[in-house]
This record gives sequence, C-alpha cells and structure tokens, in this order.
Amino acid sequence: MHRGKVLVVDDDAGVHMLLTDVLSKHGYRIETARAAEQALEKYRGDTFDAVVSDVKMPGMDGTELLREIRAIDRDTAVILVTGYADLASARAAVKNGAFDYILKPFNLQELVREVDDAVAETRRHRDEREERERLEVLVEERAQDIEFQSSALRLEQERFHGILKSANFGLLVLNGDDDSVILINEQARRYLRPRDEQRPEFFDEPLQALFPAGIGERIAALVGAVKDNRQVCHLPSFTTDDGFILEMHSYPVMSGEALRATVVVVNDITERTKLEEQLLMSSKLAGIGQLAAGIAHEINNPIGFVASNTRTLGRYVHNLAELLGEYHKLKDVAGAGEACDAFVEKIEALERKLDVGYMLNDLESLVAENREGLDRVVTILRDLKNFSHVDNEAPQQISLNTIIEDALNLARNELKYKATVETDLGELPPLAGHPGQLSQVFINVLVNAANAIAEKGTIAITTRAADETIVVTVRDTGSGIRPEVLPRIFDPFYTTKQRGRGTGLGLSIALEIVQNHGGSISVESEEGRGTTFTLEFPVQKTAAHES
Amino acid sequence: MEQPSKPTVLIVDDEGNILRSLRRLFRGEPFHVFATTDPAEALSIVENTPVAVLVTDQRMPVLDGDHLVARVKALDPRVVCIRLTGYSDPEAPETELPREAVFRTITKPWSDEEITEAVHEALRLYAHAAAPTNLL
Repeated sequence: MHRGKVLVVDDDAGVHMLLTDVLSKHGYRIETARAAEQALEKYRGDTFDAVVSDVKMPGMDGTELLREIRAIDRDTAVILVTGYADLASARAAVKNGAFDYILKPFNLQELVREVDDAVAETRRHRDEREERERLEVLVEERAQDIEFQSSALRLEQERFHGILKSANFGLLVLNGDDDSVILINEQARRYLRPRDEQRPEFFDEPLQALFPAGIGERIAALVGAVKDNRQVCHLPSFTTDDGFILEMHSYPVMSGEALRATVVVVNDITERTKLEEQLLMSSKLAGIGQLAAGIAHEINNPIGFVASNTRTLGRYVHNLAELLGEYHKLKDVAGAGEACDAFVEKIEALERKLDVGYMLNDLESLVAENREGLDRVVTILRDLKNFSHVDNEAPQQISLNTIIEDALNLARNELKYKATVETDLGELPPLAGHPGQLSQVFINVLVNAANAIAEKGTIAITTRAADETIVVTVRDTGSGIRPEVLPRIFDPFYTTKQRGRGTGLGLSIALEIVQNHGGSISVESEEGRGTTFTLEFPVQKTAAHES
Repeated sequence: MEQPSKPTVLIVDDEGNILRSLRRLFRGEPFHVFATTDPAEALSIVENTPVAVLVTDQRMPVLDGDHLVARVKALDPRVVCIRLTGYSDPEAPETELPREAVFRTITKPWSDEEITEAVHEALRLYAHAAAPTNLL
C-alpha cells in the first residue's frame, strides 16, 4: 500500500529523477510530466493526492496550471517549486489556492515534509468534501422528508376538516383558559346558530354573546361543569327555536393538571325522539289491543244479553204501561158495590203511596237511559275490536280511491249537513291491504273532520301517487286543533268531545290500521282555520303486516 | 194452497242467559225457536227435526261452533248456519271448515236488528234452496 500518488511537473528531467527517487523511498507513487499541458492531461485521467509543479516552465507556467487544476477540483494540494527570482508570483499563487511553495535548490527533508502535509491536506479536503456532500444529500433527503410530511400534514388536516364537516354531530371546541371558540364545525353552526359568525372577532368574544338565548346559557353551563368536575358532563335534551331536539355533552381536554380545552358535542335527536314517540304510541295501541282481547270475551257475553234484554224490557214496560192504562180506566168505570169501592179505594191509596204516575213516566226513560248507556259500551267494545284485527284474511290488491268513495258513502249521513265534500282523486297504483280496515280509517278521519266543523264547511280529499307512496290528504275548514291537544289526538281514549259522544278511539284505531299497512299519518292544524290529515301508504309492500 | 208450517231456528250457546235473551228477541217472529246449551242435544234435534237455521256460539267447551257446524252440515247440508262470536275467539284452526259453510258471522255484543235480519235472510236462503224440491 503506497502513501499516495504524486504528480511531478517539471521541464527538467533531472528533477523528475530526483523527486521520484526521494518520494518513492517514502512510499509515494510518482507520475511525471514535462509540461503543464501534459500534466493536465494526466491529471484529468487520474486521481492524485498531491501535485508538485515547477513555476517556470516553457508554455503554460505553474501558476496557470494551478488555476487549471483548481478549475477541475479544489481538493488536491498543489505545491509550487520556485527559485528566488519567482518568489513573488509563488507567494501570490499560495493566496490563489496553492498549498505551499518550496525553494530550489531542494531541501529534500523539507520536500518530503511538504508532500506529506500536502497529501494530508488533500485527504482532509476530500474527506471534508465527501462529508459535505454526504450532508448535502442528507439535507436534501430531510428536505424531501419534510416536504412529504408537511403534505401529509396538509392531507391529514384536510381529512380532519372533512371528518368534522361530514360528522353528523355538532362539535364546538373552546379554549380552556378563556372559553373562546377554537373550533366549530358546520353541524354545530346549524344547531347552535352562533350570531354573526363571519366577523373576524368571532373567535375572541365571550361565550354568552355568541349564541342565542337558551343555547348560550346551556353551553356556558356545560363549560362550567367541565371546569368544576373535569369529567364528561351531560345536559338534558331540549328543543331549539328552529325545532331541533338536541342533546349536548361536554368533556375536558387535559394537559397534566391544566384544562387545555373543553369539547362540546351536540347530537340531533329530533328524528330519534319522533321514532321513540311513534314506538311508544304503537306499544300503547298494542297494549290496548291485548287488553281488549283479554277482557272482551268476558264482557261481550254479559253485555250481549243485558243489552238485548234491556231492549226487550223496554218493550215489556211499554206494554205494561199500556195495560195499566186500561186497568186505570176500568177502575174509573167500575160499578158501585161495597167490595168494589173498597178495592178502588185500596188501589188509589196504593197508587198514591207508590206515586204510580211518576213511576210509569220515569220507567220508560229509565229503560231508555240504560239502553243508551249499554249502547255506548257496545260501541266501545266494537271499536276495541278493531285493535285485534278480526279480519285475519290475507291482504288484497285494492284501489284506495274506491275505498275512499265507499267510506264517503258510509259516512254520508254524518257529513251531509256539515260539509261540502270536494274530491280530487288522482290515478293510483293498487295497494295491498285490508279493505274493511282501510274503509274504517277513512270513515274515522272523515267523521272527525265533520265533527270539527261547527256550522258548515268544506272537506277536501286528494289522493296522489308519488315515489312508490300513495299520499292521501283530508283537509277540513273546521275549528282546528289547539297546539297543546295536537300531540294527544292519537292517544287511545283521548277525546275532546262531550262525554258519551266519542270513545276517543277513532283516530288511534285509524293510526293503528295505517301503521299495520306500513304507512303513517301526520297532522297539521291551525286553530280557527282547519286541519289537514296526511296519510301515506307505501306501495311496494307485497303484503300488509299481520299481527 | 197448503200453509207451510213455521220453520225452525236452533240456537246453541253454552251460556243460558244468551239463549233466554235471544228467545225473548225472537218471540213473535214467524219461526220456531229451539235453544240449548248442549251441542249434543243440538245434534239430536237436527237428526230428528228439520232445522232451517242454526245460530251457534263459537267458543264452547266440548264442541266448538265450527265443529258443531261441520257435524250439523254432515247430518243435513241444507241447514243455514250463523256463527255468533266474541271477536277474540280463535278461528278454530283444526277444523278446515269451508268458508261457505257459515252463512254469516255475528260478533258479540250483537245488535238486535243485525241478528234478526241475519236470521230472516238465512230463512229466505233456506226456503229458496228448498223451493225446487217443493215444485216437484
């Protein structure tokens, strides 16, 4: 292993031999060149650890060669060899990148030391350059890395915002120190209606000022609760002015002991609440059905014969009263005679005592009242019957328009004095259902509409088919339904009618039947203006539900 | 022309109160009424007397309405049958009674008009079905 490769440039062959001899002994490999041009050629084709060049040469001189070499690379140390005559230019060359200069005649020890130093310098330069290049590559790699990471971060940020935006819950994040808004997503804006959120100072304002009354206080309460308890806090659900039913909870984001932020989550439970109400209603109706089925058989028999007997009793009473009347006349015309007089007297005393006149009068109305009471019970039992579906038959393909026309015919007596009926029946696809039950639905809704009309009004019925749904609307110009009553109108046994005039089952039966056909009923009403019932039936169902 | 004798209506219900009530209702109607709480007795009446109309309760111990109708029809297919039912009565799944075997189903509590009218219609149907044989 040699100590390095040295290029010796001199026009004097004696110098070549001298230096080759000395340096070779010190473990260097030597190349020689007679002129700068030749040296450059060799330099370009090989790698040297040092160059030892005479300054004064024919053609290109040593300082020029140095320039040329420096143009190729900056690593290899160049030692210039010079006589006293050229010392100034050699010194200048050192400033321009030569490693050093040595004076002729050669001090061989100095020469070897200089070459040793030059080779070390070259190696140091090379190492440094390599290190620099390595670092540059590293920096470049890091830069790319950072670029990649920041684009990943951007992507992450976009994803985060996408998630926030498409989240089906509202999210509001507040600074733990001053409760200012750090983040609010679109859903939260929709539910909580922050005021004037476009203003730049929005995110700096105190909480209470940002949200409408009723909402601001609730958020403040949640934030306060999180501050006090440092745990998840829930708020009871409430209804906003926009009609959302909201459920809110909050939780802390901690950093050690410090509260960094408060997160408020807002859930829209409007739909869920409605479904729960529907479910509650369904189970109420189902309960009625079960109760009805359970007690019906026990009650139907006695009511059956008591009602029928009472009617017969009425006939008997009537007959007896007639007979008694004849007896009364007989008493008046009864001939004289002691026995007869005594009898008549006794009868008259008894008649006074028993107040027969009053009794006879009252007897007929008494039976009539009993009869009426029993009729009411019978009506309730009949209505209850509709909850347990007497017709167990398979659903048929029916025309809802025909059903409605039938119902109009059946309810005609109830409607004719109250309302002008306007029908606008569109073309409908056939519906799978139970004609008897459905006709009951429309009779109930129509009679209800007629009852809402005090003097004279209009009942308008329209049917339309849309998107695999049949929509029926029944609109009346009646008194309307008070808002506080509206949620209860489908409750079984709820009635606004005078006692004895309604069982309170009509609409609940209608709802039960419609739900069993997979449909729904909704109501809109304005007090004093009238009410619209909207019934929707899905068409695609091949069969109605059976229970 | 010979005055035809009054037709017979047979009423079966395991509750005597119902029978008495219907008897009262049908008093003065132009038909005989036989009433019994015992389906076996009902069958023996059908065996021995021409019965035009059977009015039977659906839910009875021993023999339910559908089975009684099936047995009566086997004895005399001309009998027109009316079923009286509390609405929650099961539809007797074990008898595969043909639909046409029951002329009408009336639910308890009945309306007097409805049941009277049903019996009258049943009697007309019976008379109509019997007419061709009378012509011979």
